[in-house]
Amino acid sequence: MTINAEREKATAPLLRLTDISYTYGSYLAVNQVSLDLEAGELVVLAGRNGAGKTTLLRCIAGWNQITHGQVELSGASIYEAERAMRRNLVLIPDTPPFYNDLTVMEHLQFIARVNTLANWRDTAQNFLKRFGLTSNQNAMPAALSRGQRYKLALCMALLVDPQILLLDEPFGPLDPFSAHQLWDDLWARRGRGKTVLLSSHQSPLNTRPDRYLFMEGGDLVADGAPDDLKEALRANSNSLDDLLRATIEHGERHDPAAEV
Amino acid sequence: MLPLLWLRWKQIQGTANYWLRLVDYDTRDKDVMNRAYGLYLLGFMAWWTVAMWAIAAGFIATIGGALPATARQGVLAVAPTVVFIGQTILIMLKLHSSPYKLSLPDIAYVGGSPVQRAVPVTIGFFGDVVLPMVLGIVIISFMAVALNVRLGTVGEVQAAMRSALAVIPVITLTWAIAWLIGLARMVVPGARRWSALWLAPVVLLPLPFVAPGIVAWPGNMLASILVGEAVDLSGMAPVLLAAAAVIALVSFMGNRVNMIDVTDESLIHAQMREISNLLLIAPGAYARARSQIHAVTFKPVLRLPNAEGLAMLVARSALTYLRSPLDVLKLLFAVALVQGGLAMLAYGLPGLLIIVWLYAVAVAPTASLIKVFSADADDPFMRQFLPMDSLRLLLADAAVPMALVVLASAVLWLLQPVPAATGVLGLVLIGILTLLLALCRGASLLRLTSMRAHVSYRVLAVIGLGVTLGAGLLMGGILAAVVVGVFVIAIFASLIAAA
Repeated sequence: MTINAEREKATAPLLRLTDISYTYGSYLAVNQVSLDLEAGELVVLAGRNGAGKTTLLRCIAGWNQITHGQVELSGASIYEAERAMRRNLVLIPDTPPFYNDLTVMEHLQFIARVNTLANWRDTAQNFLKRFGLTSNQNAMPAALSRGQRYKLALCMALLVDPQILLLDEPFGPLDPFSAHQLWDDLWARRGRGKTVLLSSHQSPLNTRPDRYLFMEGGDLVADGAPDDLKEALRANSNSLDDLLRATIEHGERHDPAAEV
Repeated sequence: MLPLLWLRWKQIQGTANYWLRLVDYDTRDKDVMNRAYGLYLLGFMAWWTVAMWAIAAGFIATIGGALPATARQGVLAVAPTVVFIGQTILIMLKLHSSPYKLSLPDIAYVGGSPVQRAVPVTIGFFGDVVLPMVLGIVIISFMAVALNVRLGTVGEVQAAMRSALAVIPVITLTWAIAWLIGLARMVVPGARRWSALWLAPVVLLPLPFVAPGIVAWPGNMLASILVGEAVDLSGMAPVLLAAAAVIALVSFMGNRVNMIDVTDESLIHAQMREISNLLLIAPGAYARARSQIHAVTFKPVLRLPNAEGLAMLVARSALTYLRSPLDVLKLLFAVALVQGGLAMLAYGLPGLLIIVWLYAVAVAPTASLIKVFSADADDPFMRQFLPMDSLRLLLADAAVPMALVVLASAVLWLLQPVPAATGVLGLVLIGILTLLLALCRGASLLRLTSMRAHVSYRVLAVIGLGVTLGAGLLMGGILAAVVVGVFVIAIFASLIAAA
C-alpha cells in the first residue's frame, strides 16, 4: 500500500457508500445511493413503505450483495474485509430469528464466549435488566413476545458492542417506554464514538438524531441535520413526521410525472 | 365405528382431491372431458407403476445375479438383529409421545365425543400401520428377488410373493407391540411425567445376544422365507396369532387412555399435518414452520458449558444433540450409508449396487448431521455473531454428530471378520465418507450453486461420494477410495472455506 493510500484510509469516513444499487429481479430497490457515516453519529433512515430502507441496511451489512457500487468500512471494501466487518458491524432486522434450542441467557452466553468477550456475564445481566428480560432469561425465545424478541436481539448486539449498529424498524415492536429507553441507550453509544443507523417511520417523542436520511422509490432524496432539512424543505417542524411529509410533498412537486 | 370410518374416508377423499386438483382434475366436475382426463390419469398411473416396477425388478435381478454365494448366509445372520433394532427404535418413538395421534378435525370431533375410545384407537392403529406395511412389502419383495434370482431354491417371483405375505404379520406385530407399550405410558398414572422414559428401550438392545431364540424369532422366520430356506408360510401363523392378540390388547388399552392427554400430545402432530401438503411443494417453508412449531413447546435440559471460541461451538453442538435425542437417532441413517458403502468395497459386492447406494445417499434424511450448522448458516442475523469462516464453523458444528457416526460405524466395522489391514483402511474410509456427507450437506446450504439446497445436496453428494466409491469399485479396493476421497474432501473444503 502506498503512503497516499495509507493516508486516504486514515482519513476515510467510518462507512462510505458509493453509488450502491440493488435490484430484485427487474425491480430497482436501491438506486445509486451514496453517503458517508462518521464515528459517533446517530442517523435515522426514513421513508414510506417500500422506499428501500431495509434493502439499503441489508446491503450495508453485506446480507444482500449489491449489484453496483461499493461499501467501504474504514476505507476497505466490506467484501474484502469481511472478518473485520463482522466484528464492527451488526444489523438487527425487524423480526430477528433465534436458535430454537438455546434459552435467552444461553444466547448471550453463546455469542459472548464465541467472541471471547471478557466479563460478559455482568454486562449481559445489566442489559437483561435494562430491557426487562431478567425474569425471562431461562425462557426460550420462541416463547417471548415480538417486542421481547427484539429486545433480546438488542441485548446480543449491545453485548458484542460493534462500531456500527444498524437497526431495522426498532421502535415498531417496542412499547413507548422501552422505545424511549432504547433511544437513550443509542444516544449514549453515540457519546462513546459509536455509530448508529436506524430505519424508522417513527421516533420517540421529542427526540432528534444527528442526521435524517430520507428515501423514496429507492433513491436517497434528502440527507441532513433536522434543522437544516426543516429550512430546506420548509417543513412545519424538525420532527420526523413533518420532515417526512415535507420530503414526499417536495418530491411530488418536483416530479414531472406527478405534475402531469 | 361407522361414523368414524366414514370420517376417515372423507379425510382420505379430501387429501386425494387436493392432489388431483394439483394435476388439474376436479372430482366435482361431471363434464365428459374431465372424466376422460381422469381415466387418462388412471391409465397413465397404472402404466407408470407397472413400468417402474418392472424396471426396478429387472435392475434388482441383475444385482442379485452378481451377489456372492455368501450373501444368503449374511442375510440370515444379520436380518434378525436388524429387525430387532428397528423394533426397539419404533418402541422408543411410540414411547416419546402418544402413539395415537389426533388431527385438528379429530381433536374437535373425535377427542371430545363420547365414543368408546377403543374404536378410534383401533382405527388409528390400522391407519398408522398401512404406510410401513406398503413400504415393507415393496422392500422385502425386491430383496427376495435379489437373493433368489441365482442363489435361491425357489423362483424369484414366488419368493417375492411369499416374502411379501410373510412381512405383513411381522410388521403388524411390531407396530402392535410398539403401540401397546406407548399406550401403556398414557394409561399408567404418572408415567407421562417421566420425560426420559422413551430412552428405556435402549436396555433391550443386547437381548439378541442374550436370548437370540426368543427376541429374534419373527426376524428369523422372515429371513428364512426371504432367502428361500423356508418354503412353507405356516411358520408365520404363530406370528399372525401373536399380532392379533396384541391388537386386541391395543384396543383394550386404548379404551383406558385419557383423550385430554392424547390431545395434549397430538397438538404438534396436528399442526404439522395441516401444513404437510407443503412438504413436497415448498420443503423449505415446511421445515421452517416445523421448527417454529417445535420451538414453542421445547423444554431445555442441561446447561450450556462455559467453553470459549471454537470449543464453545462444539459444546453448544453437543448440548443441541443432548436436548434433541431424536436427532441422534436420525444419525443412524448416516451410519447405515457409511456401512453400506464400506461393505460394497470390503466384500466385493456388485458394482451396480452403487446406483442403489447413491440413491439412498440422495434421499436418506441425513440432514441431522448438520442440524447445528444449518441453524448458524441459514440466517445472516445469527451468522454475523460468529467470527469464523464457513469451513471452520461447519467442522466445529458437525464435530459431535460426525464423531458419533464414526464411532458407531467403527464399532460395527470392527465386529466384522476382516483382515487387520482392511480393518484399518476401513476405519479411515469411515471417517472420509462421514466427512464427505457433512461437507456435501454444508456446501448445499451455502448456495455454492444457484440450485435449491436439497437439489444442490443431491448433486454434490452423488458427485462427491459417487467418485469416491466409484474409484474404490473400479480400482478394486478401499485404498483407492481413501485416496480419491481425500482429494474430493480437499476440493469441497476449499469451496466451503471460500464461500
